[in-house]
Parts: sequence; structure tokens; C-alpha cells
Amino acid sequence: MHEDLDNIDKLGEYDVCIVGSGPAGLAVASKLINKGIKFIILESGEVNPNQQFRELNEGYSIGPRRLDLVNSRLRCVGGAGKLWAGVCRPFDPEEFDGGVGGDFKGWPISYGDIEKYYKEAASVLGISYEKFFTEDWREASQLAESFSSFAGTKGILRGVQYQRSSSKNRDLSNLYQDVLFKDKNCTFLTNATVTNIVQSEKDIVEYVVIKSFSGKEVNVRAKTFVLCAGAIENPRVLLDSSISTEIKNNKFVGACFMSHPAFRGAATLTKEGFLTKCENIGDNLGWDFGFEMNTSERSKINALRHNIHLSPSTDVKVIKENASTYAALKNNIELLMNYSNKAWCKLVGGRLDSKLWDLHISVEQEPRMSNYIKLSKDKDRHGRSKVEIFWDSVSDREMKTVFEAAKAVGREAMLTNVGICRISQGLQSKEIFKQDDPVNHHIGTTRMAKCLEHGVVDSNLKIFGLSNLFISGSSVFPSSSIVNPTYTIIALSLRLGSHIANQKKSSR
Amino acid sequence: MNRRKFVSLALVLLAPLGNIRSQNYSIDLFLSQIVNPFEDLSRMEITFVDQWIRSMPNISNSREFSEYLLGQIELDYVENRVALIEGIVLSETEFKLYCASQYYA
Repeated sequence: MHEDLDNIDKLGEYDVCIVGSGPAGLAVASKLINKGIKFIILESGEVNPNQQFRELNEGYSIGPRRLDLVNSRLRCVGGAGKLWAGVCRPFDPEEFDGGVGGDFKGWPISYGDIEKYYKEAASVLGISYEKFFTEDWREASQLAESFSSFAGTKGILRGVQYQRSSSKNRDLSNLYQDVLFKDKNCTFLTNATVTNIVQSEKDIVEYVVIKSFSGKEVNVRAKTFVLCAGAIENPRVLLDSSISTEIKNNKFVGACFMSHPAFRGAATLTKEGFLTKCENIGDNLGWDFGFEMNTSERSKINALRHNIHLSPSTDVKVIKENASTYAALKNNIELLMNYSNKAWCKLVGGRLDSKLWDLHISVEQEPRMSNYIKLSKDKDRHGRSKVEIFWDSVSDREMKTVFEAAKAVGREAMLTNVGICRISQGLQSKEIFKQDDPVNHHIGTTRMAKCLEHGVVDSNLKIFGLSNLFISGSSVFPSSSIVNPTYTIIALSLRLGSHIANQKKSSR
Repeated sequence: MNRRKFVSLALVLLAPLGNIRSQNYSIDLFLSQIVNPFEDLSRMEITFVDQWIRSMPNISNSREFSEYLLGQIELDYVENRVALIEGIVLSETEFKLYCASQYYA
């Protein structure tokens, strides 16, 4: 059943209440269908995106690096699944097994605990789990073809193949909305923003308070609550609710915010050979493909995970004033060759294997207490505190990883006779690190851990200190990896949905 | 690595060895013919340069010496003994050869 909160006066009691209907909320809900479980899904927005709900996303980005809090999130059924580009890859198994460095512990679960759900999530998203682990990337795209000599047996780099879920599959509302709207055990409530989580004297959540955009207020009672509102809203709701101060004072609630800072034009690779060639090897250059230093290299130099992408250069070299025509020509000769070859390839209908390639590097972020979300003094229309997010400058280790990744491409290019890599002025001067984040991945603000001393939720995603409140989404990731988070969000949420369904089954 | 096609800075560096094959090869002669393309390359201490040159194996044949240096350069790249000089990734051996050449130019 689907209803707008403005049309509801009273609600019954539910077995499970899911807050949020983005990829995490819908994946949890999918595991409760046809299990005899009475559940409710609370969506802050409407069925389809509506501009007026954007004001509920407003907050303040106060750190040296800025985030767009309004446009990076979407309140509607399907949530951020409608913004996502559909790029998928699982975390690497070793990311689950080791720590993430510093004082922070890593994942409290193993890759084996989540692998089954990665497979299930792949099926949901219409991609192949097995394909991630094949070595046939060399013909996967024009980019992979152009650098197929990289990552050989003596190589320093490895090729990393991503897969893209189709625009239909990547938005889980296409798959589950109608099913959930028709399910007699499901109440799908839109225009219902959670404004308070109310705890009883014991360690249980009794009900949540919801408000419609126009201000109508209703309480929702359930035996189990699941918070799936995203890595900015999840800590916001916890910090702004009537739950015990012990939980709100957990130093990890809102801390360790992470994203994937991306640096365009970190270096230029000039391929060897006087002439470039046209290669008719498909239409896709391959943004779904990248390189990375292999695990052995990364551990030798203590580098973080990263993604190296190459694209044909479009940069125009600076011609100094008073430079001679010859000097100007010399300075731009490679670029002119690139353009002339592009024109030639267009003429003959082939695709260009460019002579000049730009390197773009994105990097994993370490968990740091100095990257945090807290409540502002300003309130939104519901009287809820807006958020302040402090996102600090790129750390030394993150910078080092970018340098080492660019160097690794230079080393690989020399070893494989591909060409010469030149680090950009922006990277040499570190100006590049002042770029704002173009990647809206919000991660890590209610991190998962083995015990309260290291995180907010346990290995089953249950919050420490409360017996019936769970959290799912990228906010529970203890490390950010470098892969797009949504695939792992869905896998973790399917796992949580199964856990809750099993719990309900055994309690009957 | 296909050494005949190793068209990197290393080959530019080793080009003088091709020129002096027919002559009586010596490391001094080789170093004196290297053209250093890096304006900002800092000079190493002359005692360090001498030490490093003396530590090289005694190879009298210029072709073998070229092979030896290429092997060292390749090993530097594999083992990450590289530095960024004016934005270019340069192996330790290349760096040392360019520095040493400044004393013999």
C-alpha cells in the first residue's frame, strides 16, 4: 500500500520500520517481501523528485574542501539511485581482512560474509559478478586497448574493470516500487520525514516521529527500525533525536566522513612513435576502466587505493609572450599532431589512439576524526537542526598516493616502451589538491566495528547501545576504498534484510 | 623489455655509447658526451660521483656496458628507485649519470 502522509491520520504498529527508500532502504525492504513481516517504509520526499524537498538538504560545508549538500542527494522513491551513474565494482577481499591504518580498525566482517550478497546485488543490478575477476580487460574498451601492454608480468600496475548497471537497473525503484506498493504487508509512506527517534527507558527505540512537508505529525511504532537515510542524514537523525546521550556522545557518530577526491590532469603521458594511429575498436573510450598500483606496490610504499584514468589530452600548452613562432610551434607540436590525427581519424572513420593522454587520479580517503558532520544552530522547516560538515584538506598520505600513482604510470610506460609521463605543474606545486570534489560519494559517518570503542554499529549493523535500531548504507563503511559505493551499499543492505527476516522468523 | 625499442630517456642517455663503439671506450669519454636535458638537476658531490663510478663493474666493451646500464635502469624502474626531475620520472641510474656527466662535460 502506498500513501502520502498528508492523507494518513493514524498508523498501526509494524514489525519493521525502514527510514529511507534509496538503494539501501529498498534493498533491505526487498528481503522482507512475502515473509509474513508487516513493515513500513518512510520516504522523506514524494514518489518522483520534487524541487521543494531540496530545502530539507540544506546545510553548511565549512571545511577547506566544499561539498554540495543540496544537489548531491535526492529525496524521492529510489533516492540517490536516480543520481548514480551505475558504475559497479566490489571492494577487494584484502580490504575486509586488514586494518585501514592509524588508530582505526577495519571491517569487522570478512569478504566471505558479504560475497553471497555481492552476487545477489549483481543479479539485481543486471551485471555479472564473475566478470569482475576475469583478466580479459585488455579488449574491454578503447582505453584498455590503447594501454594493453600495461600490467604485464613485470608490471607495477593492474587493470581494473568496472561494470555499469543500465539506467533501468541501477534505480532500484524500477524493480521494487510497484511490488512494494501492492504488497499487503507493506505500507509505503511518502512525504514522511523522520524528525525524532524516541527511545524508551530500556535500550529500545519505541517510535519515530514523522512530519509531512506541510507539518503534519504522526508517530510510527515498530519492533525494529532501520536507518537508511544516507551518510549525511544518518548521523544527523541520531544526533538530533531523543536517544541516550551515551549513543549521541559516541565520538564516531558523524566522524570519519570520507569521499573520493578526484584530481584531473595530474600528469600527461606522451606515447612513443611519430604518428598516432586510428583504431576501430568500439564506441566506448572506457570510463569504466582504470589502472591502479598492484597490492604489492601499494603495501611497499604504504599507498592508499586509487584509480588512474587516462583520456586523450585536450589541454592547450601555454605559449609564453614574446616567444618566437618556432618556439610556439615547438611547444605545441605534440598537440597539433594530436589534433591533425584526430581530424584524420574522423575522416577515415576510425577512432584515435591519441599521442597525448591526460592522467586523472582519484584516491581513497583515510578515516579521520577531523572530517566530521555535526549539528548547526540553524533549524529547517521541521525544527530539525541543519548539518555542518567539515571536510579537511587532502592528507599527506592521500597526496603521496596521487604522486606515487602518477610515478607508477611513468615507470610502467618506460618498462613497457609506451612513452614518457610528465607530472603536471598543478601536481608538482600541489595546487591540484585544492580542487573541489566532483564525486558525490558520502561515506563513513556511522562506521561499523567490532566494539563500541571503534565504531557506531556492529557486524550485523545494529547500533551499539540499542537493541532494535539498525543502520545501513555507506555511512557504515569503515574504509572508503576507491570503488563507487552503491554496489557495496546494496550488498550490505541485502545482508541486513536477510538478517532481519531471519530474526523475525526465529522469534515467531 | 625489448631493448632495441626502449625509446625512453634512457636511450637518449645511452646514445653516446653508440658513437664511441669504434673508439677506445672509457667511462670518462662516455660521460663527457652525455647531454643533460635537465636544467634544474642538482649536482652531486664529486666524491660521491667518483665512488659510484668506481663501484661499476669493469666492462671494457661498450655494447656490454650499455646492456649493463639498461639493466640497472630497468631494475630502478621496477624497484621504484626513481625521482621526479622537472616533472619527469627518472631512474636513480639515469639521475646519477646525468649528474656525473656535469663533471666531465
